[in-house]
Amino acid sequence: MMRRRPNGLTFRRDARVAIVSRMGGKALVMDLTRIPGAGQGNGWAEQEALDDLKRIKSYIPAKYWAVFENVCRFDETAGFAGSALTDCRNDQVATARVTEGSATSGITDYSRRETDEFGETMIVPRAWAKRMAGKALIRTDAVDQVVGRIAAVRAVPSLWLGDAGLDSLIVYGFFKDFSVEVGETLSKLTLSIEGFSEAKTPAPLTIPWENVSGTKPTENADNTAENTSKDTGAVAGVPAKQVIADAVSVKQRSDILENITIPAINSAVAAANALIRTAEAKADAALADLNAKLLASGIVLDAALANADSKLVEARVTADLAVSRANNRIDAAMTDLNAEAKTWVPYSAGNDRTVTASTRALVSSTATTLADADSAIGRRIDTITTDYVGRDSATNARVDQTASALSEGDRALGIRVDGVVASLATTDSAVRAEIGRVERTSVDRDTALGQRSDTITASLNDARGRLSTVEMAVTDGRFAAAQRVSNLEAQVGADLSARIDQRATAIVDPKIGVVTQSVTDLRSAYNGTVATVQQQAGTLVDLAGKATAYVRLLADGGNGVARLSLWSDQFGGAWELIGDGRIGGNLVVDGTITSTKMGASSVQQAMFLTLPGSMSIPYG
Amino acid sequence: MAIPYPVYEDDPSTGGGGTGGGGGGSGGGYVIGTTIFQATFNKAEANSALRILAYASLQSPDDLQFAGYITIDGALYQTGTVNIVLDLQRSSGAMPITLPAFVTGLAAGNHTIIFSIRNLEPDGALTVLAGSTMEITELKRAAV
Repeated sequence: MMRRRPNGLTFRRDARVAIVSRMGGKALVMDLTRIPGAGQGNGWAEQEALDDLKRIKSYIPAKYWAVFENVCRFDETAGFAGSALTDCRNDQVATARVTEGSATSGITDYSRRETDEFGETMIVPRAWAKRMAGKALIRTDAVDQVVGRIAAVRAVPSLWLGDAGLDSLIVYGFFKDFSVEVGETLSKLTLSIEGFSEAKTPAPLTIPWENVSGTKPTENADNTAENTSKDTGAVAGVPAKQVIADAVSVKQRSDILENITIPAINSAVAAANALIRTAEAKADAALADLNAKLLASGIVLDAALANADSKLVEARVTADLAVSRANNRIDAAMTDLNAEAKTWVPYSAGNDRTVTASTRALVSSTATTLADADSAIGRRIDTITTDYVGRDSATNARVDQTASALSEGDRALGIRVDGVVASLATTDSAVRAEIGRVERTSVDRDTALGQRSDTITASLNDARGRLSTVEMAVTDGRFAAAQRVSNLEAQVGADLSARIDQRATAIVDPKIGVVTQSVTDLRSAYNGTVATVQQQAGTLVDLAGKATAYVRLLADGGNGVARLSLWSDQFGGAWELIGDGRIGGNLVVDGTITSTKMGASSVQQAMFLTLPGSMSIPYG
Repeated sequence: MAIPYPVYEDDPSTGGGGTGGGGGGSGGGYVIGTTIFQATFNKAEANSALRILAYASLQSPDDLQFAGYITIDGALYQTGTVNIVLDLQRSSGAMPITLPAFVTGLAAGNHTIIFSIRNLEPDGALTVLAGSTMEITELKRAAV
């Protein structure tokens, strides 16, 4: 049954997909089955519908009509389609996100309901936990960032808010899994969350004495507060106080230090290193992008200049363009500063021959800039190079500094590289000395990294000395770390090497606690024989408020380890010494010395004599 | 503190000093009889103490009249005197004697320690039986 509405738009009541959009207070209802490509229908009616659509389309601004059409014809989510109405990326994402906010909620019940072979059903109420799943649309260029953020909270209890107004969509727990359906400009994130169990701690099981068969013991039970029952296998008749004393013995505490505390601190340092590596990778990627864009800078800049008025309309971009133009002029000026000198110098090295040497000196300074709607890049390279190439040798000296900067919507990078190099190559030797420094800062939405690296190297054939220091600070908002690593290394050939490594790290780790650690390693190796010394110190205050501090010295010459550990934990201070020892001065012990063995004559020495035969003593 | 050196009216050495019988050592103005044990002991430290325990099982053909001595480097540190006169002509008296000495203040190093017995029974020789012993122990401060 067909009807014509007063506004001329036709619809069929029994096959209607009603889309109502309030535009100018007027409701539009259309029959999508009449639109070509949307299904079979009456040809004339379809033409009528198309005519109506064309007419209505002329009333509506193009971008609004596009939204309407994308939603009605192409089944796009309203928010996703509506995101095209704004040029602001944040608004686009916010608008698009709305349509995918339909989270699902539920619980996981851990109760047991089992029916045995006799039909007896056993019900054990147990804990239950919330679960939640949600979807969101995200910008495709932000996929890596989102995935990184979610991955960063793996195995970290977190509060997940599906909707702050609905308790069932507020879950404290872990994400179970997530996936991203990557689209061209927008991607769809699917995330499922598992909460912690909501059950209370079960009350302790108590059985009244009247329900217990047998003789009731005096005082109701064995009083183990004073002494453990002698036939209790768990403690083998050892008094309870002794068991407790043993538990806090130095040996056990040493084990705790070695097996729990130090590994925890090492774990925090490893996590810090992982975060540093991640931040470095991001900085490397930014630098790679910067270099790639600079390689293509000529083309990009030309295009920007040619299409500036039509393509770049926003004030920021216009300003960037102006800066680019200005920088181009600066580039030209800087090029004039470049200087180069070459000479061929003939000289006589003997009576019967003449050789020549080539020398070159170059001083250059270049500046490059690039700016478009998405990024701004600047680079300056200053270089001084001298070369000498003769018959028997070639030398080179180079002093350069490269400074680069990159700014984009969600990341920024600054880097400066300084290098001083001198080298000499002859037919039978290669000599090189090098000093380098790299300073780098990198930020994005969830990571900040500052890093400075210094290197000094001197080498002659297979002998080398090297000194390097890397200092860095990094944070992702929850985790923060500062670290200084230095290495001193001397090596001749493959068999002789001496090395000192020092590392100091300060960490705030939301999973472990607050940590500091310093480690110094000394290592000498000669033809496979190795001697090492390690000095290590650390402090840890974990999330439970338990504090531990330790110092450990270890020496290993290959024939046995000497180790001194000092630490302070919840039981007090302690130390442990492994290896033969000697105290040159006096030793004062306020407590008790306990030992199962003492050395010969440590406490007393004795001599025993026995008369082998009787003897006679005369009078007087 | 050693028990005073016993002096008897019939002591053949009274007022004489000199050597005792049987090759025993001598001290200033007294006779210490026959040496039963003589040992050189290397004392490890000055602050320690020496504990000396000498035991002898003795037999006499008549009365039990004798004295025992512990000397260190010639100085007398302990004596023990027995004077038991029995009724018979040949009473065959027998008894053991144990002399302990606890000595402090000795310097570290070697010291000569002698356990000796002097027979004061004029009616026959005193026999010291085999198996008699002497123990010398340096008690260091941790053991004192």
